[in-house]
Amino acid sequence: MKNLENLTALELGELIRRRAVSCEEAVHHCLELMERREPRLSAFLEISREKALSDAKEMQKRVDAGDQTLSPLAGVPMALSDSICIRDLKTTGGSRMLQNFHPPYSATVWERLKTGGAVLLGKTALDEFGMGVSGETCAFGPARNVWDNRWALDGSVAAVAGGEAFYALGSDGTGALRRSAAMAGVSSLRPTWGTVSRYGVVSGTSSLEQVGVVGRTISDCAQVLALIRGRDHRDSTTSQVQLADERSSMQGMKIGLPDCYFHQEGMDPCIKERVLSAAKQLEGLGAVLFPVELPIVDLILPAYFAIACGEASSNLARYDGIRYGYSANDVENLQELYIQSRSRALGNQIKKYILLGNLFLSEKENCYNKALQVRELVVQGLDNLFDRCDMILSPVVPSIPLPMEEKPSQLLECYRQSAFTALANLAGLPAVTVPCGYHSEGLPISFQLMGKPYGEGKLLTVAETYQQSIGFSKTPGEVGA
Amino acid sequence: MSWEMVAGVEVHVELATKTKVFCGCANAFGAEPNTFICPVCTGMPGALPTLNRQVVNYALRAGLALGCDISPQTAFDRKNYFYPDLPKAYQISQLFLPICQNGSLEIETKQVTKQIRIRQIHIEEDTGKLMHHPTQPYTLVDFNRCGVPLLEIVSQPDISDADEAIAYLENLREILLFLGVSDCKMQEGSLRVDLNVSVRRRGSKEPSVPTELKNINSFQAVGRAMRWEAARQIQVLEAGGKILRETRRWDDGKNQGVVMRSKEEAEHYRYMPEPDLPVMVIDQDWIERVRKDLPELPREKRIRYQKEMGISRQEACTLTGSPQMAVLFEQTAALCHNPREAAHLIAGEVARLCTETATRPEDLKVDAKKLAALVDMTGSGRINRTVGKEVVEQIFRYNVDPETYVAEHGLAMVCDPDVVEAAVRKVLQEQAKSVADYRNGKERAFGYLVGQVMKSLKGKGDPALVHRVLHQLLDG
Repeated sequence: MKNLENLTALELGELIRRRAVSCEEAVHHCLELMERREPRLSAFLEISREKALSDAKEMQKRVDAGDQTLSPLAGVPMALSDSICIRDLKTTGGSRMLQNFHPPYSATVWERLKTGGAVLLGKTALDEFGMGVSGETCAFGPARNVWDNRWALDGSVAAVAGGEAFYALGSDGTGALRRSAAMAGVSSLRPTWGTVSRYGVVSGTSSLEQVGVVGRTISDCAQVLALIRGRDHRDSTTSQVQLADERSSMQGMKIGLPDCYFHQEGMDPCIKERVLSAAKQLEGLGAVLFPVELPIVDLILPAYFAIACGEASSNLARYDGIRYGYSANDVENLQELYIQSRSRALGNQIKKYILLGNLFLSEKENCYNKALQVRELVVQGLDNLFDRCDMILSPVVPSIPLPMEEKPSQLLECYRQSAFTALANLAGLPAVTVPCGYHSEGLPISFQLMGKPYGEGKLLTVAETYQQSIGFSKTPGEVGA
Repeated sequence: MSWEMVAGVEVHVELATKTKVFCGCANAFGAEPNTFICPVCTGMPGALPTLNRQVVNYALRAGLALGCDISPQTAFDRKNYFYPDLPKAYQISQLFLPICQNGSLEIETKQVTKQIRIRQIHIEEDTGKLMHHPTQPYTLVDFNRCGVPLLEIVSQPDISDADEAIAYLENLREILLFLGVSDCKMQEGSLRVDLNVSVRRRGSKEPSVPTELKNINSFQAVGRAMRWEAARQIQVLEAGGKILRETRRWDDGKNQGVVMRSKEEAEHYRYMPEPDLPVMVIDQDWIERVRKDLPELPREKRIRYQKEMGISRQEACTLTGSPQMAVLFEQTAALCHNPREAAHLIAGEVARLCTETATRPEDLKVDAKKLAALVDMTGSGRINRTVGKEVVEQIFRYNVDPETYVAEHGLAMVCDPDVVEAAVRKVLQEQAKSVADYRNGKERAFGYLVGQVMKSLKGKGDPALVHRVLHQLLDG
C-alpha cells in the first residue's frame, strides 16, 4: 500500500480524483494507524469503522462515475468532534450526561461535508460541552498529544496531529481547539462568528463559539471552510455576508503586534522568541509590522469569562434528566430528579462554569451587563484598530500549560491560558494558528493571526505564504510509537 | 376613609399562526400529545430557534391597533428557570427591547370613559402542558404547546375597579379577534389573564405592594378575584398589617386567592440576551405595510354602521360581536338593496339562532348571498316578515336557497284583495265574540283577529292588506 501519511488533505483528494488512490485505500490507511495509535492517543470516542468503509465504497463509485458535485476533498477520511450531531449516531458532547444520546437530526456542517464527499472515521473527544483548557475535561478521558502524551488535547486536534484523520471539525468556544492545535503542530482556523452554521452543534457558549477546522496545513483548513460556510436557514445567526476569502498579495500587508501580549507577565520567553522570529520571516515576505494597542485589554478576559459562564449555565440547564440524557431513576420528587441527575452526570469543571454563570447572571448589573458593555467597547475599539492594520499577530498561549497530572485548578488554568485566544471569541473574529517551531520542552509552538470580521482572505494569504515559505511541516508520525 | 383599587392587567394571547414561533411545527390545539414537536421546540442539544416572521407581523398589528410605538430594533432574551414543561429550561421572551411600547386602549363603563395605558407588548414562546395522573404518582408532559407564539400585553396600573378591568379585557379581546391574530378563547387557554392588584387610600399617591393573581378562567372571575383581593388588602391594612409581595392562584370555586409563592423568597429569572437570535430591525416600510393591511376595528365599524347606514347602536353592537358576524353583515348589506333590513335580520334572527344553537362565531357558515336575496324578497313584498323568519332559519340550519324554498313551499305573500277579503269574512263569522269585544271598545281584540286571518292564510298574508280589509269590514 502507498504511504499516505505525509500527504495533506488536498494532496490526497487530488490523488483520489486522479484515481491514483482509492477511497477505500485511504480509509484503510487511517484505520490501520488508528489501531496502532489510539491506545496511546485516545483521540476518538467512537470509531465508525464499518460505516467508514461502506461510505468509502460508495464514494469511490461516485469518483469512478466522474461525479461533478464532488469537492476537492471527496473521499478524504476525516473526523468530527463529538459535539457535532449526526442523525442516529451517538453524540455525547464529551459528557456523561449525553452518554447514550442519539440525535434525530444532523448538524448542518456535517450535511454540507457529506454532500461534498467527506468520509467520516468517527467522533473525537472534547472538553465536556467544549469547556476547558485543551480537552482534559472530557468525561470519557482526554485525548493525548502525539508529541508528548503527558499533555491532553482536543480530540479533533489529536486525531489530525497523530495522522489518524486528514482533517477534523471541532467547536471553538473557549479557544481549546486553537490552543490544542498550537501544542500539536497542526494548523487551525476559527472562522468569523456567523459564517458557519452552529445548527446541530451541542451548545456551550453560543455567542462565543464557532465551528473550527483543524488541518495539516492552512490550505486544507481553507478548503474545508469553503465547504461548510454560508447562510443556513436553521441558524438565524449565520450571516448573509459573502466571505471574502480570496487570497490577496502579501506585499504591504499590515500586521499589528500587540505589545501588551508580548510583555505580559508570565510570558514564556521561548514562545515569545519563536513567534517574533516568525514575525520577522513574515516581514521578509513583504508584510509591514508595527506595535499596536488593544482596546481595554485588561477587561477582555473577565468579560469573555463572564459571558462564557453565563451562556453555558443557561445552555446546559436543559439537561434536567427528563427528556433525554442521564436521568436519576431512584429519586422521590422533581427537585431530587434535577439535583441528582445533574450532580451525577455533569463533571466538576462544568459545574464550576454553571455556578459561576448563575452568579454572574444573578449579579447582572455588576457582572453580566458590564461584560456585555465591555464586549461592545472592544468591538468598537477593534473597528478603529483594523482601520490601521489588517490583522494582529500574537502567540496562541502565554506558556505551555502544565501537563495533565499537575494542574492545580482547571478553571484558573483555563482563564490564564485563554489570555490570547479570548479576544477572537469575545469579538467574533476570525483566527488562524500556524505552527512555527518548537519549545525547549519539545512541544510545538504556533503563532496566531486574528483578523477583522469576514477578513479570512487576508489571514489565509499570510498563513499560506508563511507555510509555503518554510515547507509543509510533517506530523511527528511514528515519534515514540 | 375610603379606599380605591389600583390594578394592572397582563394578558397572554396565543397567536393564530400556522406554525410555531421558533420552528416549523404546526401550531394547533387539541392534537394527540407530542405529535407536533421537533428538536427545536423540545430543546435538543444544538437545535436553534429561527423566528417566524408572521409572529412579528401579528405583534405589529396588535401594537399599531393599540396605538403603540414600534421599536425600530427589537431583541429576544432568555428567562431562565427549571420546570418540566420548559424543555430548554429557559423561555425565549423579550425583556430589554420589547417590540411595542406605550400604547393605550379606551374603555367605557357605566361610570366612566377613560384611557388605559399599555406599557408594552412583547413576543414570547408558550410552554408545554403537564398532565398529572389522576391516581398514580406521576406526571406526563405534552410538548405540543411548546413554542406556540404568545403576545404578552401589559397594561399600566390604570384600572380602578372590576368593571374597568372587564371592559378593558372585552375591548382588547374584540380588537385582537378583529385583527385576526388570535382566537382569544379563555377556555382553551389562548387568552390568559393575570392581575396585579393593590389598593390605596383615596387621594393618596402611594398604592400598597401589588399582589399578582393567576389562574383566572373567565372575565367574570376577573371581577370576583379583583374585588376579593382588594377587600383582603384593605382588611389587612386597616388592621395595621402589611401587604407582602406575593403571587396568588385564584380558586374561583372557593372564591379566594391561594398563596402560590412569596416574592420575598424571590424568583430569579437570570434574564440574559438570547445569543441564538439576531437583533431584529423593523424599518418604517415594514411598519407601513402592516399598517396598510390593518382591518377596520369593531369600534370604527360601529360608528360607521350608525352614521352611514342608519343602524341602531344596539344592532351595531350585536353585528360587531364577532368578526364573522360583521363579515356576514357587510357582505349581505353590500349584496342587497336594504342594509338596514339586513342589519335587522342578522342582529335579530341570525344572532338569536346562533344563541339557540350554541353556534360559535368561527362555525358561523351562513351564505351572505342567500341572506341578501331574502332581504330583497321581503323588501319587494314577495314574502312577509313572518315567512322571512321561517326562511332565515332554513338558510341558517340547512343552507336552503330562499327563492326555491319559498316557491316549493308556496310561501309567497298573498296580496290578492279578494282572497284576503274572503279570509277576513270567514274569520269574522267564526269569531263573533272577539268581534263583539272589539266593537265594545276592546282594541286588543283587533290584534287577535289579525292573527286569526294570518293563520287562515298560513302566515303568508300581506299584513298591510289584512289590516286594511279588517278595518273596512269591522268599522265600515
